[in-house]
Amino acid sequence: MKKILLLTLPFILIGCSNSHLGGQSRVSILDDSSRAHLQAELTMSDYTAFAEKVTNKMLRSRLVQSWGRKRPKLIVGKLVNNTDNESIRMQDIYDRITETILSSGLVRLMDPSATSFDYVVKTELSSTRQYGNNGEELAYYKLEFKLFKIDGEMVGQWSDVLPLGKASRRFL
Amino acid sequence: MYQNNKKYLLLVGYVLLLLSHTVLANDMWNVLHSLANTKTVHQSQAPGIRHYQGGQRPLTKTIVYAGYAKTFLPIKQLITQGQWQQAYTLQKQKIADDDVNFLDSVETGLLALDSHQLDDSLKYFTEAEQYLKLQAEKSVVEDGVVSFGSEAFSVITGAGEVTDYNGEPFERILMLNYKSIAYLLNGERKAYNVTRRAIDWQNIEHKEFEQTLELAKKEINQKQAEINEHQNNKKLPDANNIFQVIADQYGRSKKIALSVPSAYVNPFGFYMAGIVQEFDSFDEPALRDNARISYKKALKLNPKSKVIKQALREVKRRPRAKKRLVHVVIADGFAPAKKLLQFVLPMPGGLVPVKLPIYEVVPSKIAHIKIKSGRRTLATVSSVANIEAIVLRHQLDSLPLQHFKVIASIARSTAENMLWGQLGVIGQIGKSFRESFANPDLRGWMSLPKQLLAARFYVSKRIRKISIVSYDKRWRKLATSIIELPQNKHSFIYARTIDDQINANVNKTLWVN
Repeated sequence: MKKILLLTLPFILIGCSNSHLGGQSRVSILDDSSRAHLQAELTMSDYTAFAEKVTNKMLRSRLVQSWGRKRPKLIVGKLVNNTDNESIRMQDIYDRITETILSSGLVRLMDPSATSFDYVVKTELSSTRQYGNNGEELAYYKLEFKLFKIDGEMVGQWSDVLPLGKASRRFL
Repeated sequence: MYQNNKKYLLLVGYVLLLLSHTVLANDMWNVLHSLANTKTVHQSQAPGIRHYQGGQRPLTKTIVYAGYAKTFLPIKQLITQGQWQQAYTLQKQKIADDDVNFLDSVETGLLALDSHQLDDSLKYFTEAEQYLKLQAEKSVVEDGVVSFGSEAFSVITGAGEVTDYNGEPFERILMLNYKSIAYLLNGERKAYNVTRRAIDWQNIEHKEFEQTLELAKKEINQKQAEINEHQNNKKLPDANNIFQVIADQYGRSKKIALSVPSAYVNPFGFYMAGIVQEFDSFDEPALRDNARISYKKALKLNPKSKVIKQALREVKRRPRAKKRLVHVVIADGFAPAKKLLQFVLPMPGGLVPVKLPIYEVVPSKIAHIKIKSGRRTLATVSSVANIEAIVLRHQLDSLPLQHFKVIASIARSTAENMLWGQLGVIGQIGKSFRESFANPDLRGWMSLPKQLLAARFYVSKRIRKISIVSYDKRWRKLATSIIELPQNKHSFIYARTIDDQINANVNKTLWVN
């Protein structure tokens, strides 16, 4: 019995370590903004961090900073999902954008149905995907803001790309 | 019930797997070669069977429903009678005890859609997609062990439906096409996200299929050389002859199959993207160009489609003022049914029964469909995706893969003839029992339509109702269905037509103004 246990133990240990490594090997961190993933899909924490990053880009821009204490009226248009994933919680991204804008104190945020406003920001989330031969996937998510005046003139554009990678299939 | 049988067969399979090692480790033709020299079963032992003799006599063959296709027939019968709800209920009862699997989920998803149960339909299509994702997540070893075990069992016993079924490539694309239809009927823009995935998947599937086929062709050439060598020694019949016999069986569908350049030219993904973008462009005119690009890509895959040509022409112009846009998609008839083709090949060791899956065209009475408002014709529908041609093209292109199955089938049967022959009466009983579950894989999405047709037109805001009218070849009216349009809104209509039945469904309020 003891011999059997001794014989099987190394195999069990190898099995455990490999399955652990197998899981890790599927995760690719592509740059400092990407996160560990088992799928090349956006997670909740990605949404919020991504939304915050692009919103802050806009708020820190020379144009928005030049508004100073004027606090113009701004509408955040409906966020359009042009990715290949219908499960992304667009409302969460939208809420994070409005929350970040509100807490900056730079603008007066208006309801999308309001008729009196100075600027409107249109937002879009899109994605492209590349596939390898062994189940590898590389997805690029892009969040883009376009700022328009009431007469339709575009006055600013900000975007950021979040690359997510999934390595090839696990061996074990 | 089907799943329980599968589990039982898998259990037996693992026992047989041990035995299979010897067979599979050896070259199939070497086994066949050695078995062929043992004259245990003679042609005289199978009286009344006419067989192939170097093309001198016609081959006796039968094509019948069997396996999965046969179990689905009662549901298909209900659909043909227009009893969509009953068909959906029966299907739900049938799968109640089964584990989630691709085929049950897509069949149920489509039946739910045709029964106007959109949320259920979306649930089942999502389930099917999730199943495929989990299959793809399996490790190389796990996948290899399971596939090898069930494939080996399948080769030895001839029971082809014990392996996991992940759908044919065209079925996986159509699963997403249908999911996007369900979203659009639900008034949700998510239809766009799903259709983008369908476009991506089609490109990936095409690439993968080409690679698999390339490998199969290489293997076939190698096997053919081996067989020819045996043939030179007068020990086996000509390989080209055997393969020609197989190819001949699929000859009838060749004309339809060759009407499309490949099985990966389903333009419906692009067409759906065009529909969503065109609806979007009512809120955002700049997006009209995106719709044009999508329609253009759809037209590239089906250059003869009148409706796509018309959409492309019109989307270049501004939308008509004070009119509303109506998109109609019609799924007509049934896609080719996967049946069982049986024939007997004479081998030096005796007659060898060969069983192969074959897609057979399901005829449809419908030849024309018009959309009318009163007596005025608003549009005549035309084809977007010819699923029948895509299925048959897939069959034609997969012929080299069928050759493998025949080789396995011949090797197994020759070995069996020898083994059962030695056991006398008990052997005959054993052989009959084994034959009872020896069928190739006849699983396939049975409720799929023959083709996806479409029409696109503007109507005055005053028009409340339109009708879909189907006709036969001689323009005799087959069926009429009246549809109430949502007031002052752009609309999307989906209908299923089968001979003298029309089942139409109009969208819930769309996301556009």
